[in-house]
Amino acid sequence: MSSEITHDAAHDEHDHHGPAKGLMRWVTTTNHKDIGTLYLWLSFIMLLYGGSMAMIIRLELFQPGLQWVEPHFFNQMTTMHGLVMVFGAIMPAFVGLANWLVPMMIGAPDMALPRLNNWSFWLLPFAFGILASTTFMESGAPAFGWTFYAPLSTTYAPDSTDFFIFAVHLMGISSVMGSINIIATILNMRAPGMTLMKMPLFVWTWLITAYLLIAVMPVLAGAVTMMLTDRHFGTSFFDAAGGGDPVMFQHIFWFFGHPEVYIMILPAFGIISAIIPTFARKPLFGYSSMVYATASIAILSFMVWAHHMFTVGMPVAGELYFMYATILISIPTGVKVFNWVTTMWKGSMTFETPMLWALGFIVMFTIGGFSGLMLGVAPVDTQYHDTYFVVAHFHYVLVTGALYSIIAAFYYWVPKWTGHMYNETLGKIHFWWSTIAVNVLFFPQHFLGLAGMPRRIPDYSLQFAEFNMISSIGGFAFGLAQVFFLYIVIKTIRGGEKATDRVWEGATGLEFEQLPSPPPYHSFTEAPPVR
Amino acid sequence: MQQEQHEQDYFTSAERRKRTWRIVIAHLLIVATFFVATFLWGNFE
Ligand code: HEM
Ligand SMILES: [Cu+2]
Repeated sequence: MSSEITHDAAHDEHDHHGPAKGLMRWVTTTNHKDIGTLYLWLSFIMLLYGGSMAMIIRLELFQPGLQWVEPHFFNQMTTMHGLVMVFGAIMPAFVGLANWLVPMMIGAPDMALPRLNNWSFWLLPFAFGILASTTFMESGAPAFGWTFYAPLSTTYAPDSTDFFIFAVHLMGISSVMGSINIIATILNMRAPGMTLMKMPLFVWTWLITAYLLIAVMPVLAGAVTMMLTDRHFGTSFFDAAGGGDPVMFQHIFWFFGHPEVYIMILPAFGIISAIIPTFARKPLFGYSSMVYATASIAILSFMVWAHHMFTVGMPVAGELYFMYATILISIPTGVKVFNWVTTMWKGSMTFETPMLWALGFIVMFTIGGFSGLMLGVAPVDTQYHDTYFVVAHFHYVLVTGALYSIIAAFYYWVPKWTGHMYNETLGKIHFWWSTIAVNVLFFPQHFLGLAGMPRRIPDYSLQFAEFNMISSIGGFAFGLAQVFFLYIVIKTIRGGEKATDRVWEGATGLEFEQLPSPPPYHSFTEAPPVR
Repeated sequence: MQQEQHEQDYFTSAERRKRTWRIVIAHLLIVATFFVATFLWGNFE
């Protein structure tokens, strides 16, 4: 460790400088750590923005009847909430983590294409600025759901849809460029000795995620481009009146959409695979099976899209194929859960905050996996489809799955990033508060769905009243817990007990073993030794 | 002189840069293929 520190002092004479001063540092930066920080802050801001729309949704659903907002505005809220959370909160958080961690984990000085990296980030505030501005337009924001099915998004769409299309194009360019950068970094910038099968699983899962992104983001871009030409340039891709097919839109959307949900969970698997071994003080069980399971999940994710369309009308052979293919994915997913549990088996476990979030992930993501399995069974999905059961499913996998892994990653790596320990008591309060609230919020939605309450509606019949009220109370509590998280984040950045270089007794990996906390602005300008 | 030394650094050699660009172009081709294929699919009767 000391050799690393002296090495940096020796280099200080020439081009190894610290960050520029002032606002321009952030506008012009090409440093992977700065850009990682920018992504993470953007993601947090979007989490709070998307979260405030969720609060409006839960407020309206607190009681049956229409109390607070117009039905049309309610639809705008569900649409924008979904879009902002998927594209603004979850995806940029993982890209931010990749920026911070991938170069440090593979012993590279920075990303392969640092200027492209700057561009990838700075497209996003404009994309979300444009998307958010639609709320203030005369036609209102898009109200057709985050899945923007035609013809709601074409023939019957508000004028603001064109802004939505442009925003999606910008996000797509950002994601594609970001992914190519990550692929080039991982394939071409590893320190000598860092073979593929020595890479930390977070790097592996991101490599595979980046391939999913470059395959499906152009499909999304194609879908919105066809919407655009249908709306303005006389084509009829999705218009039955002109010989097109609105159901085709759903196929194309879900060919993007299902891999997209794995884009939001594979990096989470990488994070959990880093945290569990540290706090169990045992190496990860089944490293290579984890790599192969991730690759299998990624390949299978391209072959199951129509499980979102069981009720649309498909030949029985199609229903059966998509049902069995969907159920097949639970095998590699089960391998992962098995490996995490086996890693903990007979380990000397301790339960610091990152470990609590990781354990919460394993338990609650698995609940979401099981409800997914139920939805994958075609005959019963005819009952569950478009009910709150689906809402419960995807919030278990996305909130207690993806978001929990992001929060776990924050607590696990923030001492490395800032050199400050977070406050352990506050971290634990944040975990238990969130975990109780999130289950009060989403568990009753299973019952609502099974009882037949449809999703995306501002009003409901009286028999759903109790569970909705309970769910809303959980929602408000969960929202408040994340404002508390904002306080913890700021407090940790400002100061706190000094973190050691290793941070955690059981931590492994180049970022913990070869770099001080915090790492210098330019780390690994010379390749580190890899065991 | 310092610049030359830098050129020979492990991460910044000319050969490595060339490989980076080859990776970028190969993957942009994948992106373009999927983009175009989406329209062919959307046009399918
Ligand atoms: C563990 C295996 C999984 C299976 C078998 C599964 C299965 C399904 C099925 C069949 C549906 C469609 C339900 C319907 O509309 O009737 C669905 C919806 C959904 N799933 Fe999953 N899922 C799984 C994991 C995940 C994961 C990991 C994520 C994200 C991290 C996810 C996110 C979603 C979302 C967002 C929807 C709703 C899309 C919408 O209509 O708005 N799922 N899932
Ligand atoms: Cu799916």
